Amino acid sequence: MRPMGLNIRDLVIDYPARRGSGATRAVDGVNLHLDRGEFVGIVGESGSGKSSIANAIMGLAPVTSGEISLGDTNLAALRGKRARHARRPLQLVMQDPFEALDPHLSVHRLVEEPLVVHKLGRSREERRTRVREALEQVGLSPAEDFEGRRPHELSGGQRQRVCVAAALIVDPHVVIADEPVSMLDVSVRAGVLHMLDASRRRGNAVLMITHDLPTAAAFCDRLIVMHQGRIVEQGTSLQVVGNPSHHYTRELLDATPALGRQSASVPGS
Amino acid sequence: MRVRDHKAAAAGLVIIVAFGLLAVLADVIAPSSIHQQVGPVFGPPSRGHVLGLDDSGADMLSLVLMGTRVSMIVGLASTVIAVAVGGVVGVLAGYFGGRVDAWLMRLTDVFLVVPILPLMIVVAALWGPSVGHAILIIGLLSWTPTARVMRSQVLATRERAFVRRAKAFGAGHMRIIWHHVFPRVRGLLVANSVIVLASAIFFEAALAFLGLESVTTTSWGTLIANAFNRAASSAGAWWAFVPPGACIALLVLGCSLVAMSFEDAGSARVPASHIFAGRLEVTRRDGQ
Amino acid sequence: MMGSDPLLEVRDLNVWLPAAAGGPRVHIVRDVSFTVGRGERLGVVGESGCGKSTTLLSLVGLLPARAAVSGSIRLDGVDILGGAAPRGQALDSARGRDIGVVLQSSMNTLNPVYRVGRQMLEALRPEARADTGQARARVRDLLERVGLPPRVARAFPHELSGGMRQRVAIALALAPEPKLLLADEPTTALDTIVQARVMEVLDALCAEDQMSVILVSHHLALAARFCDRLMVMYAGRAIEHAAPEKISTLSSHPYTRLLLAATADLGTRKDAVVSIPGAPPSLALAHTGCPFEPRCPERFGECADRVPPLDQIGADHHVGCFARHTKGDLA
Repeated sequence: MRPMGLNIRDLVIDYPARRGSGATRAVDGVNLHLDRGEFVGIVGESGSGKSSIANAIMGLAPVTSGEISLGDTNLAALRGKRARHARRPLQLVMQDPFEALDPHLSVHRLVEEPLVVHKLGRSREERRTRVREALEQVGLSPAEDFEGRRPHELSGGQRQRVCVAAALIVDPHVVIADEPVSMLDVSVRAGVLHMLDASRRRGNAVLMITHDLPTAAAFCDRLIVMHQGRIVEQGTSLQVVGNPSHHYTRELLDATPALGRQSASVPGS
Repeated sequence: MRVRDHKAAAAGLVIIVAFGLLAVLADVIAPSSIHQQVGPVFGPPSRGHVLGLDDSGADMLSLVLMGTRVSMIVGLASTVIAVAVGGVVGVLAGYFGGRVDAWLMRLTDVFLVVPILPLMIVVAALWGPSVGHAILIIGLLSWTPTARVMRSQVLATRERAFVRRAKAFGAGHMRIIWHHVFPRVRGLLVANSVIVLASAIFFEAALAFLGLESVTTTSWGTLIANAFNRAASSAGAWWAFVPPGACIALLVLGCSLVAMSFEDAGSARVPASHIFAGRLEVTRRDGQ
Repeated sequence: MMGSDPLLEVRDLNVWLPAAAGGPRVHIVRDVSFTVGRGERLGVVGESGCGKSTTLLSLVGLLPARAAVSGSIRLDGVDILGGAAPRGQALDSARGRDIGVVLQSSMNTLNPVYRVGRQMLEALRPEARADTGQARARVRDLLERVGLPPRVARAFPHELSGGMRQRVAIALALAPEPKLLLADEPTTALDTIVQARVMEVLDALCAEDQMSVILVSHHLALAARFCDRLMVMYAGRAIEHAAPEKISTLSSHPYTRLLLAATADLGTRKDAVVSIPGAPPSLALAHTGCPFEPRCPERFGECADRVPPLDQIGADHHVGCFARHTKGDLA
């Protein structure tokens, strides 16, 4: 059908039994389709299975059954080197930019590494040019000032921009962002989100996993609400937020503190 | 990995480096040939021979210096073997986990429960006495602590987010191990190798003392063994065995100082005493 | 009750934290003054590193040992920072009885080897502990008030979920019947629905007991919903005091308004969510002017020269911004 979208069919993820308890079903029959140029959000609380889906897509968690396919390739059936290269069009932005960057490497090395891994960029010079372009693209400008720094010399927002640059540098088709701004200060969150949105405008699909419903509603075209491993509701952001059909979605909406940026809210209760 | 106590580390390092220099320069410094009788049997320390003479009238200072060379070669070479084997086994077990880990750790357990000294004696007796054999035996039998320490550290490292991120963007296992995991545990491996060096030096002496090294080799261990075989203590010639013994003690001390000054900056702290595992003990087999 | 005196009065609080090896010490709280009335709820909001948590911790003497503090903190008219009463004594009694503390990590500070009930018994005031039967009843009552069934008293902390443990932590903080509750990001580690429930519980309890609360949060909407008054902090300074409904008006501090614009609300369009360019200034340096001046879209000449004083620009609304003062004058 659609050539390079991401397709998930009947995905089930079980985590093996630990002492005392049986296997836990983290994801229970999830179907999901992502087209290029779409910004889709998965919202839900911890334990809803939303991060397990991200990990399964990226090959970081084992898939019990079901299909994760990119174009015609079923990623869940591939192993080893072939799986790694088949996943190049999928890139991940993780939650914690303080942990996600190897503290001993320079920004240049961190952003360059995916290029080296996928043998993109023939010469050192070509890779350097591409790294600089990627840094400029995420607003770390001038790139020359940043490429020599180590992660501890950057602010949280800058670190997350480095992660985004490292994800975008291999020209992915799908960017998976797992809570990309929850560890960041409020004042810099929008910058990172707009960057993901810009990559969507260039034709990428963006899948954002978050527990922050207002942010997801603002940036995503489509929202998927997960609860206990299942999708309980999905639709356009307007539908889900404005006219929720599932009681869990309503509960989530009620629990979300809103400020009313136009109208003043009533303090206390 | 960071150094906790700089003074102790520096002192230990000075000791180790000093012995290394002595080993390299042994034949330059040595005042006389070790094969030459330069005075009376068990001649006491004098101005000409500050450490006295041994049972064949050779200069003890020269003997100890030349012994330093052999002991250091055996110690370093077997440490390289032990640390390489232990490092590879530990990193692979910790990184891959699952079945690989289970098999490698069973193997480690087997080597760990084997009483090292008796096995060394058996192997050395079968292969015959030689410095090369001593190196192989010591090296291949003392990698287990390194493997276990490395495994636990790698286990902690492979769950870190930056390792997961490398996996997610498509890096292969070897690349992740070499570029992301190994640099994190390298310091621990260095600290560990110092401890292995200490125990290797000790085992070398033990093997030699038990007569499992060629009598024509001059090492700290053979010097002590020789002194005992020629009843140096009953002759009152303490200088025949105290200097090599003191050298062993001093080098082991130096290694311990360095090792104990290292503190793992990560969560898993590995005290040096843990790795020594209380095996530095030996009794003479003929019970004399 | 002692008339209309505020319960807590903080004047010119300054806190310096010891430097990391070699660097200059960090002036983390700068000339912060505020009061909390009886039964009043103050929200302290700002981003990481703005000094909001340090301000809170200095009220209960939980700062690192090498921190330097100046200014005065008066609880019920008694200086608890030093001065009149012997320092240790005033702090200890205040900490133990009159001030309850709930931190983000409180749910992880329960003792894992004791049952919840036993830990709660220990937290009661000595006189309440005298009669075992009454003390047990009080524990049941406290658990009920935080919305937990009595059987939780017999549970070990690891048997409870994060939300339940945080509610136990709140019950523990409330056990000695404090006059003032300090809550530092009490629900940040919790899921949205659990967060809402915990905040509801807090809300009901504080209303019943007429308890004063200081809520520290980076979540503007959460603080606005819960508190009577907000104090916005930036780079160690309090830059605005306002009732929540005033915070989203034009007369607010430029930083406050930009912070609001950076936060997505339900129904906000993504184009309306914008980040604040630049970064907060280093707290190791002294600022000559307004700390927000380098990032401020409304800055003008005077801003770089001196720190704008907190001036009243409306009923219950103080703003430290020269741009607002002029507008206030004109109005």
